[in-house]
Amino acid sequence: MNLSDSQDEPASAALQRQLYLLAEVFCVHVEKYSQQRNKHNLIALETKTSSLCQLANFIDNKRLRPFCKEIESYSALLSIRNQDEIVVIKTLLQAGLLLCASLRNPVRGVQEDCLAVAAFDSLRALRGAVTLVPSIRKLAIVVPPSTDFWCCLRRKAKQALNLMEADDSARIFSSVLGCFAQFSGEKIKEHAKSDNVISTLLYIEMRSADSAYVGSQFDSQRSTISGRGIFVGQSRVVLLLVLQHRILALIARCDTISTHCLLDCAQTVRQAMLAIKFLENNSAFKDFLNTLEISRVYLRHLQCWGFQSPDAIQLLFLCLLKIEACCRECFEPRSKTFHKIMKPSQLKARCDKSIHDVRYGHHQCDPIVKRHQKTLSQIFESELIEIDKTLRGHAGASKFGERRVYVDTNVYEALCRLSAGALCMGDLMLYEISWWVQSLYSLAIERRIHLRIDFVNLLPHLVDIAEDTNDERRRLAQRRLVGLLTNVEDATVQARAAHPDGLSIFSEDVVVHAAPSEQLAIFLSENIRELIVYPEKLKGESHQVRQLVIENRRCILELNMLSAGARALNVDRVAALSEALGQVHSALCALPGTINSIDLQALLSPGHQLLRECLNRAAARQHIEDVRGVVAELYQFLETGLPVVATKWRRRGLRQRSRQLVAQLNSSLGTLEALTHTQAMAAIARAQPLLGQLVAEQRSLVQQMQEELDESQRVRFGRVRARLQRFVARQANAMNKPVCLQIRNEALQFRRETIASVIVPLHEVLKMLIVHSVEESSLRRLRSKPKEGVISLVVHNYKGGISLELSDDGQEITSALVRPIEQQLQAMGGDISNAYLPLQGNRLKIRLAD
Amino acid sequence: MSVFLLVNDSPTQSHYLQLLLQSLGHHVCACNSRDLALERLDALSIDLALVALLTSSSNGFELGVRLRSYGCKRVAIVAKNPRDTDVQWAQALGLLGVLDVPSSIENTKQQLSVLLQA
Repeated sequence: MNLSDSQDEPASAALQRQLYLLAEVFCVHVEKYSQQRNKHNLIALETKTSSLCQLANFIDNKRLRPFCKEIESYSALLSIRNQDEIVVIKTLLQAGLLLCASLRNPVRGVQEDCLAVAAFDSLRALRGAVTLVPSIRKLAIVVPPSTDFWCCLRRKAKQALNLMEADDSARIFSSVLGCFAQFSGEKIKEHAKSDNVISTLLYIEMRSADSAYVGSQFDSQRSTISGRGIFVGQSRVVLLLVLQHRILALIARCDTISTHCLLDCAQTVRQAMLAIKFLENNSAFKDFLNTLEISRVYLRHLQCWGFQSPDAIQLLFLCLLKIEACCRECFEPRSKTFHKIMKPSQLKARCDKSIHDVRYGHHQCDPIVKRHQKTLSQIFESELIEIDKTLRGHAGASKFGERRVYVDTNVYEALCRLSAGALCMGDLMLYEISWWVQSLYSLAIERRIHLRIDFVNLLPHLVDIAEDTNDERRRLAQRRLVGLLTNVEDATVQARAAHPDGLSIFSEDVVVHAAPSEQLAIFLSENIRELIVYPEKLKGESHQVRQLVIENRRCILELNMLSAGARALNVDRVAALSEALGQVHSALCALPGTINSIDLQALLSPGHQLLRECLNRAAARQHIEDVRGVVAELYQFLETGLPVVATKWRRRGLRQRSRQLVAQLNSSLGTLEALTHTQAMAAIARAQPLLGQLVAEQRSLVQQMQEELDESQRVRFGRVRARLQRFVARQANAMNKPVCLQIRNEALQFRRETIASVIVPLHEVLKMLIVHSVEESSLRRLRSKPKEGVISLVVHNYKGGISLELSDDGQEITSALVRPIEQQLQAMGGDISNAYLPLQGNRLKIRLAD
Repeated sequence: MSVFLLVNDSPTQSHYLQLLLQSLGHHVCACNSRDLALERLDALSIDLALVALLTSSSNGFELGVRLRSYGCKRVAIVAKNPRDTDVQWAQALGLLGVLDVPSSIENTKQQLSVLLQA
């Protein structure tokens, strides 16, 4: 999308006209301000100046650019209020009028002489006369985002751009993306529809306005940054639409009030605040921000105390409705909405009253605290010493130049003790704040977010507040801490957006998990029964254990379910352990005749015991210890401990019995059909259609069974994915090269024998690529290649057999290296071809016909 | 009057719970570590074991399972504002549930009677 006047004449002409109109409006506002001199006019003038310059820049007119660059400096008009306004305004007005004059005649274009001599010089003189603040748009977040954050978002944006699909209806999105393309230099498809992608891109754009990192990245393309103004304007519309949709969904879901629902509400409100702050921070959003802030405080209170009464639920609904009305207000400013009927101050009064009632109610119904205040205080003071030691130790250990620190379960426990202790003591403000900190810490543990040093440094303040005996000083310190924590919480939300699985601030749950994390965790808790009792069952007699392992399919099912669920919940250590256990159990079930020689208790007990401990720790939101030792032993067993000859008697027997069953069913059906025919002959009209229908259903079921039995010999290629990836990881470790394997089309099905035949030569090829093709890290860096080498494996069907395409980005492989594998494949009736593409890498194709 | 085993290594919370349970007319045996809890379990006939969700050495779920394997059939977790997952996981492990304390006396009394009748 190029809008320069030389290449896209109609679009450019339309924008030139728009520019001219804007310039006139700008002059009107300058005049208005010079006459009235009030704050509202000044804000309006500032907005118009900004729009004018952005549009002028967007056209990318070389002659206009220096002028606009100068005039853009005056977007900082707010900072010159105390200067000599008459001089400023006169000069500005003169410059604006000159700009209008120069644009009035579109055929003649910009009057360079006029601009150069009068306006340009006067503006420069003015710039020297007043002191401008370097950046008028202050960042809402105090802590600047890290480089990793931007790298992650940018990477995600690239991925998202690649995933877009064409859709004619999404013109607004495509134009927004066009702006982004100009901004970032990315190539994108013409039309796009995904809200998630859009909000990611918008997010990047909005944040980039204040990011030094992105600024430095795009310095060379400064001329293309000019689309920002229009981009932000459109982003506002899209983000508000997304927010309104989210709030409506929450209102619909709030019928079943739960902690999960509250968590979702709090998250949405927090994200909405963040998003609105990123947008133009003008007065139009003031009420909106107030409403969000009130809702945020109230939701935090509800999360901390739970729903104490039906009024609390009602008030929550009211907050959500008001936020939704605020969104609607932005699209339909003239409508008489709920937003206008109920003011934020009224909502605040109701929320404050509700919060006060809950606190007062707790004081009233807690006679123990009143009666034993002195004893409890003494015990709490001694406990505070320990808590202080833990929190200060954590903060102190993180000061040596680190920007981020890992979470610590001891700190989480100390925070839990602090909040519980504060509640026991009846210090409700401290309880609420410490609960808030604790929940943030819990979020960091669950999402494996590295904590900011700013947050860690705040932790000892909690103890300082608890120890302070002066009520007034305590209150002030609490308020200050709440302010600081709000900033940290916003930064935590950013970190969540930067998580590799999260695409954007508004789309996390939609994109990452099919089910929200809390629901998934509850689902797992409800359905994992066998694994909980398995360690005890494994302590039985050896023949019982053998029977347990062979016949217990539920265990494998639960392990598979757990590994998938844990992966989705980002509990990778549990996922790795359950995957390994699942594979071992599957292997043991496949070899029922040969497991007598294996010591099942020694093999399985440590893994199952550790798995249950890990699950308990995860449920208690504690840090999970390293499980690599046990996992390595399980994989070692899979590779070396299994009997060499695997008899398939059981599977064959099962298949044979199934076939017999199907044959018998077919025979029975034949009899039934004959009976039906006889019935029809006997003219038993009423029962005949029903019987016929039942027979037809039965027939289709038998056919389905027959087909499934025939298909059972075919398996997905994905079955060997874990094995191949493990092989690659081991070889890569041995060679000290970072390599990963990506498999595509793994859902394709092939005969078991075909996969078993191709797996050995495939191992050889992978080993060859890792050893001879993929370079070491240092060499890859020198050649400007990504740090990690990627081997891509694409699976295809080939004449009833299999075809595998392997590619990498390494150096050329000689035919001498491929020859032994070629001979091996030819002996099996297959072949291999090799090609090297300069700057791209090797392309190998293995084909094995059936 | 019932006999409670209280396992919590936070002195303030432990003392508060002792006071609360004693005010409700129960006998309380408090301890601050897993080993001590197992010792007490042998010595006393416990009606209900209340285990803190988070302790410095372990967690309530782990200790609850251990106590059950040592013969204590009634075990509940103690936590403030428990999540839905806490309740589900406690039940999955065969524990009675989660006691939300500190809370109002009426609420605590009601929760305890439910746990004791389970």
